[in-house]
Amino acid sequence: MATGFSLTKIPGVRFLQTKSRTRGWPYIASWAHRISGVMLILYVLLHILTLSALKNPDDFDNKIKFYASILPVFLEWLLAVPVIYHALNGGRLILYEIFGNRQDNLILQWLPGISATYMLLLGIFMVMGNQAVSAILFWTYIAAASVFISYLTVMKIRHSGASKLWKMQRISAAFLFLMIPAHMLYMHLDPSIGRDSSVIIARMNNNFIKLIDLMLLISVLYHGAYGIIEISRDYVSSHRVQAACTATIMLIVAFFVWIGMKLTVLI
Amino acid sequence: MSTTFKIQTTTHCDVLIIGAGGAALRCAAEILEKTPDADVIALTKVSHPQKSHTSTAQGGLAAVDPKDPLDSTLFHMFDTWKGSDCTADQNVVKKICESAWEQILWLENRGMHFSRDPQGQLSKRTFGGHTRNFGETSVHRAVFEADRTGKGIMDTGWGETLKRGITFINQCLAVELLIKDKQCGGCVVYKQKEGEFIRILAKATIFASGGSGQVFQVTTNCRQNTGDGLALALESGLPVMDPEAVQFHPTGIVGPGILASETLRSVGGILRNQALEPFMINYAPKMKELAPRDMVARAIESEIREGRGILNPDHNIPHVWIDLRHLPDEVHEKQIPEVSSFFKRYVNLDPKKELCPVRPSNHYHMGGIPTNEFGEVQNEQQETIAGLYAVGECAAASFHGFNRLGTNSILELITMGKLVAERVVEHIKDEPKSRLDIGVDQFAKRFSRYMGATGGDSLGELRNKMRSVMTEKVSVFRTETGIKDAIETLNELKERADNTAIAGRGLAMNQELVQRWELDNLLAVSMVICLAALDRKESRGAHFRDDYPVRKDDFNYHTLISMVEFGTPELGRREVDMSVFKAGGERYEMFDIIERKY
Amino acid sequence: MTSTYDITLNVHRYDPDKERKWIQTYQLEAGRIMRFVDVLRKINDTDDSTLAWGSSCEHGQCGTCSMKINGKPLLSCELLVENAVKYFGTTTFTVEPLDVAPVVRDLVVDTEKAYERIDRVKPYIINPVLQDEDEMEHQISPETLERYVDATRCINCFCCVSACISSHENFLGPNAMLAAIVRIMDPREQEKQERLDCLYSADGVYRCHSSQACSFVCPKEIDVAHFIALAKEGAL
Ligand SMILES: Cc1cc2nc3c(=O)[nH]c(=O)nc-3n(C[C@H](O)[C@H](O)[C@H](O)COP(=O)(O)OP(=O)(O)OC[C@H]3O[C@@H](n4cnc5c(N)ncnc54)[C@H](O)[C@@H]3O)c2cc1C
Ligand code: HEM
Ligand code: HEM
Ligand code: SF4
Ligand code: F3S
Ligand code: FES
Repeated sequence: MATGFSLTKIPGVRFLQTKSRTRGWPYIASWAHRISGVMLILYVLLHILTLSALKNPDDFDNKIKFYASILPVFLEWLLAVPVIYHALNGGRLILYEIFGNRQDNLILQWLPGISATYMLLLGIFMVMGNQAVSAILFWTYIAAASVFISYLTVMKIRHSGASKLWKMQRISAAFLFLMIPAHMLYMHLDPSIGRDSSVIIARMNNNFIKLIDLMLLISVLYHGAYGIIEISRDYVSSHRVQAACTATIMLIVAFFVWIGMKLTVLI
Repeated sequence: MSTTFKIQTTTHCDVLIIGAGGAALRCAAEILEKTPDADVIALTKVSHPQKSHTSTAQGGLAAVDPKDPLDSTLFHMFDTWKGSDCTADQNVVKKICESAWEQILWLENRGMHFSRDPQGQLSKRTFGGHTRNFGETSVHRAVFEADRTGKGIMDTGWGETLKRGITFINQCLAVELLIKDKQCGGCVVYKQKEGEFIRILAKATIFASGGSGQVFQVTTNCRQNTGDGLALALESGLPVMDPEAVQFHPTGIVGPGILASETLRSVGGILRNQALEPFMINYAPKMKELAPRDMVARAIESEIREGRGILNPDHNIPHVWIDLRHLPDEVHEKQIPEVSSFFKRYVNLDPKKELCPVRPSNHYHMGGIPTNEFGEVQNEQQETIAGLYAVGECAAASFHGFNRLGTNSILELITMGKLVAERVVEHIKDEPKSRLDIGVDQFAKRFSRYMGATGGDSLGELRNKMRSVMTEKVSVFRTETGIKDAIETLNELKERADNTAIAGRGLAMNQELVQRWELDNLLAVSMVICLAALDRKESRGAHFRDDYPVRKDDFNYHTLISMVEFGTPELGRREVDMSVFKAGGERYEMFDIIERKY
Repeated sequence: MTSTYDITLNVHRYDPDKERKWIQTYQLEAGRIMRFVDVLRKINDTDDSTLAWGSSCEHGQCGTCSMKINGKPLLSCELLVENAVKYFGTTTFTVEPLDVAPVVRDLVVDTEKAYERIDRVKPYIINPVLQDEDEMEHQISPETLERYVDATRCINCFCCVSACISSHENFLGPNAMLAAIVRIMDPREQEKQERLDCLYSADGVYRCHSSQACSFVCPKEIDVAHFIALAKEGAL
């Protein structure tokens, strides 16, 4: 290059460039999807543990104080990277596999742009920190849209010969496609919505919100658990070890479903 | 260090097929369909049957559709006879042409993905030499699967045999034929992967080992086509028939040898020499580039011989140019897209802007192991060897005589494959068990000799020398002095080969050892090609003698040549079968000795 | 224009006799339009006759010569030195056997082992639709054929298997999936269930994550991922 500077000097870029030449961009996107999925499930488990402290509001507020300092907030913002990437790329995969879309290179090209917009928007909200939106209104819209998308997916996927469990994972993904990015966005409209135990508990006392949370909890954990189990099946060849992995993952996830539900229902 | 060579195990089976190409698989499928409990073993040199050479056949296979009002089997028989330059055996021609359509249906019913016409029936296209009314106009006679007809046959044949429980031994070599008292009992096999020698005893053994294109420098044939079958036959004292009948395609792409199809010339491609002169005008003033294949091939070869070729430094192969630059873009894109893409892919040239290197490329061996019309192998006295059959390119029944028509080869595989199978099924029914009493000795001596040699030559270099001398002196053009020179070189190479050391000591996947063995086969086949070509002082079909440029009735016979000791041949003759002519049926006069003129 | 390149090959070698693995470096001068098979042959002829590698047709029709060059699974008979230099931006190449089956020696893998997966989907017609008339071809409209004809073009080179994000052990592999799909889409075959069972088994569609590396590396330019996605959608 004439300037003497080349992007390829950056090691990560080099790596991506090589991979894109030997396997293609969709392959890189798949790896990124896998990594972001694993990051998300780990985050959710941690998240549920943290939330379970809500039983004791003071305890929760104390813990959450730590998360309010600058670095954790920044990290929280960064968490939006796997969230939005996984959601959008997941959407792309659903369109490819279930809706017969073959133009997905186009989507792949748009993905960074849309993600950046989401990140920017989220950042702006986080910095402004004073938006007031009715929880009921917000979640009515989002849930209605998500149920609609899920319905479309159900109708399309019905005829496939693939297993019920697999279909459910794709349906849960369709459901989460808006729910998760919206959840994250919503929690950052105003710091108290996401951090202040009294605000949270007050909101969660509404049965509709409880229902939303339960749907979120169950679909996320089902989707994530299935994802992890499938990853283990890709690489573990012994059927016995496979069964052991599946059982372990199911036990862990069941445990988290249990604390999550206890939290939501009992609050 | 000395490696001892001994037989690890002995296996028994009903049918042993040396090869797993199109001919072998069609034959095996039929045997297994007729006798489901037969034990059939098929051997391949390649890593899997599907990798056999048949998979590369592109164009199609000729067969007269009985529903077609314009065509008839008789026309197909005539075209084949005329194409063969009156050296095909008419009993075989009749059999193959008559059973052709039935075999197409066999393939179709078993899942081959033929290209279809708008009505959903099999599409057909025309090829050079396909005519109606004895040469009047061209006719659509070839069915095809896009540009991968051979692959379609292989996929179907492999699927059918797999379904019916064949045993494949892949990546192995048949290294010694077990023959005694005009009976064949099986062969010795070197399993490359395991590095083991085993003995397989069979009630029937079938040669289906394919061609010998590696004898020449530029060839469309695959790397494994080293004429093993012919060499094995020679070594066992059996003759080879018409080895001098070798077909060359005028325009192979230099380097990989891939065919640059005739269409390049028919759409207006111009052949040019080193000085960029269009030279065809000097050889065929009227027809120029559109002259018949053999004339074009000879013209190119002459330019190269007289030093007006271009030497490609990357492959060290002289060639001429084909100029396609003046053709409109539309022709490039619509009429010759595949060939254009070949030039791009294999020589990185854009035919729209650059000259493309071509030269005559070896394509097909009409000669082979002599058989009767049932595929039973014959010896020099034309007695059959019990339990030994040959089919496909390695065999000469002879369907192609001295010149094969495009699309007739893979037709031969599937029709003769079936006919041979029928014979084999009869034979194994009568045969109580495989013959045990045939001893094994040659292979061990031979391989110990290979491993024991200590000379410093490079196998690759010897092989390249052989290939270039055969290309220069015994390919498209032959003269007495040229052939004699070649024979001298071959003798010298043989001696050097015998002293060449092998660096790798292990037996498992020792490709060097395989190449050493193949070199012996190539030399043997080259030698019989030379000797037979020397003896045939006329020009016939693909065999062109500069010093005897016309066909002569004195030579209306098949050459038989045996050669147990390298360089000391025994020559014989076999009459050309003219039963169709003699039967005096409809238009029998067309099956007399006629002129081959188009 | 350069007429030759000085290239370096780092070849992953394996000697079954001593069970030894090592990387051997060869330096040689290669013409611009030499293909990698020609380069390997040149090494055999002039430098090291023991280096083992596989090829057959040497013009991209049989799928014997597949190997990984600088990590990309490809047909070495189709890769010209000049194009490789351009594509990878280097004259140093790592040459490895495909990782789809055990290595027999150097660059040669046990193809039979790899093929076992294809055998499992039964790549043939089990129960053909019978014809009304005897001895007739089936009628298949060009449109019907067009839907699946690309899937029939596979030459089983196993490049796609090597490239796939899923493991090579638990997955039937993109090419075996194609073989199953062909007979599901072929109107002449009645026995669909057996192939569907293969497709929707634990070794089937669930192992594919639409990473599309199969389509990316396929030397025959078959859009393998498209067919597998059709199977997921239930639109075969
Ligand atoms: C580029 C090209 C295009 C062609 N196109 C056409 C066409 O359009 N129409 C047409 O009719 N013909 C065509 N031909 C010719 C035709 O493809 C061949 O003549 C035919 O495929 C030969 O088939 P086969 O079964 O006899 O041998 P092959 O397919 O060569 O099979 C030989 C088998 O024997 C095995 N073998 C060989 N030696 C040994 C040994 N020592 N031990 C064990 N196994 C061994 C090999 O591994 C292989 O499995 C074409 C040829 C080429 C090169
Ligand atoms: C935001 C909406 C989401 C969408 C649209 C979505 C979509 C998808 C899709 C389509 C897949 C299948 C990929 C494949 O295996 O082929 C998948 C896999 C996966 N998802 Fe999600 N997902 C979402 C959210 C989540 C969340 C919140 C988690 C974490 C709990 C998660 C964890 C995973 C995991 C672990 C996998 C397996 C990855 C793999 O097999 O490579 N996903 N997701
Ligand atoms: C970092 C930003 C996030 C904040 C501040 C946040 C905050 C919260 C809060 C306060 C709740 C309590 C329920 C409610 O108020 O409705 C909740 C629930 C939940 N969140 Fe988040 N969340 C964040 C990101 C995420 C992400 C990225 C995921 C998924 C990958 C997620 C998954 C869930 C789930 C499943 C519940 C329901 C738990 C239950 O009902 O037991 N959250 N979140
Ligand atoms: S699908 Fe393509 S890459 Fe895969 S085996 Fe077939 S031809 Fe090779
Ligand atoms: S590479 Fe593998 S993940 Fe699926 S799309 Fe192709 S099979
Ligand atoms: S050798 Fe046949 S594809 Fe390369």
